[in-house]
Amino acid sequence: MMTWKRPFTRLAGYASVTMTAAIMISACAAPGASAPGSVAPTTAPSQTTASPSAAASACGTDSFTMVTEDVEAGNGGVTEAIDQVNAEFMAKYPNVTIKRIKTTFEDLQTKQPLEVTAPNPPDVFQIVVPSGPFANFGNAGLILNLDDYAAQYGWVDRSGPLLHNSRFDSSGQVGTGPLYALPQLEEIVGVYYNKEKLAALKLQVPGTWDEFLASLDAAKGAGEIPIMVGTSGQGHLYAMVYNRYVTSADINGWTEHTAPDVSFDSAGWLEAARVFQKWGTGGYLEPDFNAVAYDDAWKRFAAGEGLYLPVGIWLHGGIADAGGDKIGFFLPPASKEVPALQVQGGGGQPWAISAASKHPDCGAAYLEFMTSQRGGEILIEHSAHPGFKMETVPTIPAGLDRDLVEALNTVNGSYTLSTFEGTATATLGPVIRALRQELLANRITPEEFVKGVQAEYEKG
Amino acid sequence: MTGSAGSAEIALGRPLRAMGRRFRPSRSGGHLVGYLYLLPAMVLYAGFVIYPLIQGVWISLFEWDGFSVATWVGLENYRSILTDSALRAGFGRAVVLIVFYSIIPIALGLLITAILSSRPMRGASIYRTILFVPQVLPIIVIGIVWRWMYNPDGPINAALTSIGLASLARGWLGDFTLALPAVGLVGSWVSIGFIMVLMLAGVQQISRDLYDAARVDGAGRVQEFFAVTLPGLRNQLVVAVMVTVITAFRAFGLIFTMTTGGPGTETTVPAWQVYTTTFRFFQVGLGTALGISLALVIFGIVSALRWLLERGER
Repeated sequence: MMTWKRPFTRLAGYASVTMTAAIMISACAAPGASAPGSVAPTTAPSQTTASPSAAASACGTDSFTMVTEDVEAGNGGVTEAIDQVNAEFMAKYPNVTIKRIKTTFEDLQTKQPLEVTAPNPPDVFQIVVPSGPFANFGNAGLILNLDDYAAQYGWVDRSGPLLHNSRFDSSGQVGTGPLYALPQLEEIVGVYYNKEKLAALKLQVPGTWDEFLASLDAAKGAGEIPIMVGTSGQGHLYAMVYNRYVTSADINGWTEHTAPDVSFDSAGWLEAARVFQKWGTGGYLEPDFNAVAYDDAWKRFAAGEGLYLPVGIWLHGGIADAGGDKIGFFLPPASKEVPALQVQGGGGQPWAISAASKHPDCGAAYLEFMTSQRGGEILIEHSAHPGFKMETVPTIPAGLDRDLVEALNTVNGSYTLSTFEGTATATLGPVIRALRQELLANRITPEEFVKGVQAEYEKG
Repeated sequence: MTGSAGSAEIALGRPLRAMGRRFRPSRSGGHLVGYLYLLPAMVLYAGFVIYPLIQGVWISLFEWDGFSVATWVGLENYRSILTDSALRAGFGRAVVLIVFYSIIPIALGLLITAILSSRPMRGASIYRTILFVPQVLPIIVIGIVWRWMYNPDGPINAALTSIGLASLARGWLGDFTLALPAVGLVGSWVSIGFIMVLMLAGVQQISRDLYDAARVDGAGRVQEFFAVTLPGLRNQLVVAVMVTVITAFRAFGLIFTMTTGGPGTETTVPAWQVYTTTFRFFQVGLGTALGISLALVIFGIVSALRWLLERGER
C-alpha cells in the first residue's frame, strides 16, 4: 500500500534541477552576513553611541510604544516590581506606552540571538550574561554603548562593581571595555534557614564555615534534612562550597580566562568537590535530590522541610511569601582556608538598549528611572534587592526582608563577588551540571570531577 | 495519520484508476497539464522543505554563533561528530528508546488488536478511545503529567508504598539507571494508541474467508492470529515500525519536559543534543550538522528496515 517510488520524467527533472539551482544560489550566502553588525560601518559599535539629550525631553512628546523584555516572569516579587516601575514610568511620560514581554532565563537564552537580529527587536531588554555569544552583542552592533548615558546619569558610581558583567571589550572579554547594559537587581547566593529548627537544635546562625559544617551534622543527627537543594539548585550549592576553598581572585581569573596559571584541577576545588560529594552520599541533602525540581525544593523548604536552603536571592520574594516569619537569611560564612567573605553572584540580568530602537534616549531614561531612588523603593516594597546605591534606604519592617538587607549591609563593601564558574565557556555550564550530578551520586570521584571540568574548559 | 492515509488510498484506489483510464490524456504534451496541477504543491514543498534543507546543509559547513558573521570550516563539524564520544553516546540512547517507542508498543498493540477484534466485545469503542487518548494530547502536557507521576512524592511512589513495595519507590527521573527507561515507557504509552488504530483498521481488511478457512482447518485463536491476522497486517507493520523508529530517534518533547537530558547525561538523546548545541551553546553550524547527520541515520535505518520487511513480499 505504501508506494514510495515516484515516476520521474524528464520534465520533472528539469523543473527540480532549475528550482534547486535557484534555491542553492539564494541559500549560499555566509550565515550572518546580513546581520546588522556586518552590513555597513554606520552601524559599527563606535557609531551606535547615541548622544543623550536632557532627561526631561528624553521621550519627546509624540505617542509611541516601547517594547521591553525580561526574564523575571517566574520571580514573584521582581516581576510585580517591574510592572509597577512601568506603571509609574508611563505616568511620568504619558506619551509612552510600555509593552512588556515576560519570559524566563532559559527561554530568553534560547531565543535572544534570533530576537535581537530580527528587523524589529524589543527596545529595551535584559541580556543573558556573561555567557556565550551574548558578550558579543555590542561588538556586532546590536546593542548600544551606554558609556555616555552612564556619565550623564552617574550609573558607574551608583552601581559600582555590579557593572562588571555588563562590560565587554572588542574580543568579547567580560569585565572590561564599554558599558553595554545596566543591572536592576543584586543577585547573590545566600543561605535561608528555618528559625524554629535552628533553635530546636540549640544553635546560633553559624559565624564560621566550621560552625556551618557542624550544624549540618547536628541537623542530620536530629533526623532533620540539613540542606534542601533540588536539581537546578546544585550549581548554587556547589558555588557556596568552593567559595570557602578557592579565592575570589582565582575563581574570577579562571572563569574569565585572565589567570592562565589557575587550574580547576587544583587543591581548593578538589577539597570543595570532596565536601560536596560527602553531602550527596552522606545523607545531607533531601532524598532523591536528583529528581526534585528546583521550584519544588524551595517550596518544600518554605513549607517547613529542611534546615538550610542555599539559593540565589532572586527567589526571595517567593520564599518570603510562602515561609514568612519562620525563615531567616545569612551569608555563607568565611572559612579557615579562605578568610575573606566571598559571595557568589553580582548584578542581575542587566538591561540593554537595542541599536535598532527608535527611542534610545527614552530607553536610557527608563533605565535611569528603574535604578533611581523611587525605582529602589519599588523593588524593596516587593522584597527584591536593588543592585544600586540608594540615597536613603527605606525602613523595612522586621522579618525576612530586613534580614536580607541587614545581612548585605553589615558586610557592605567588605565582601568580594565571585562569578559562576559555568560561564567560562559556551559549553561548560551544562557539562558541569551533568558532572555535578554524577559527583553527588558517587558515580565519579572528586578527582575525576575536577579533571573533567578542566578538560572541558580547555576545549574552549 | 499515516495509517488512515494508507487505508484511504486503498479505498479510493480502484475508482481513481478507473477515472485515470477514462480521462487518459493524449500523448502529445498531455503530461504537462498534470505537472501544472502539481506546481502549487511543488512550490510549497520547495519553499518549506527543500530550501531549508539546502540552507541547513550550507550552514552546517560553517562555525556560526547565530548572529555574527560565520566562518567557513568545510566538513569540520561532521568530523567532530564522528570523533566526539559524547555525541555518539546519544545515538546509543536512541537505540534504547527504539525498544520503548517501537518494539513494546507494537507487541502490545498487536495483543490489544487480537483481543478487540477476535470477538464482538461490549464497550470495545470505549477501550479504543481510551487507548487512543495519548495520541491527541500535546507531548508537552504528557511530559508534565508524567514528570508529576514519577515525582518522589508522586502517585507512582505512593501506589508502590501503599501496596508494601516502599523499597521500590524512588526518584525515577533522577535515577541514573532508570531515568531513560522511565521516559521510554511514556513513549510506549503514547505509541500504543497509534499502533492499535493502525492494526484494527488493517484487520478489517483481512478477508473473513481466511478466518473461516483457518477454523475449518481446526486452528485455535492463537494459531489463527499467527496464520491469518499477522501475515494480513504485514503492510501495517511496515508502517508502524518505520513511524515509531523515526519517532524514537526524534524524541525531544519528553526529554525537554521531563529530564532535560539528566541525571548526568543519561537521557541526552540526539535530538536534545541538536537543541542544546544550537540554542544553548550557540554552535549553530555544529548543531545543524548534527541534525543533518541524525536525518541521514534515520534515513539509513528506515531504508534498511523497509528493505528487510518488504523483502519477503517480492
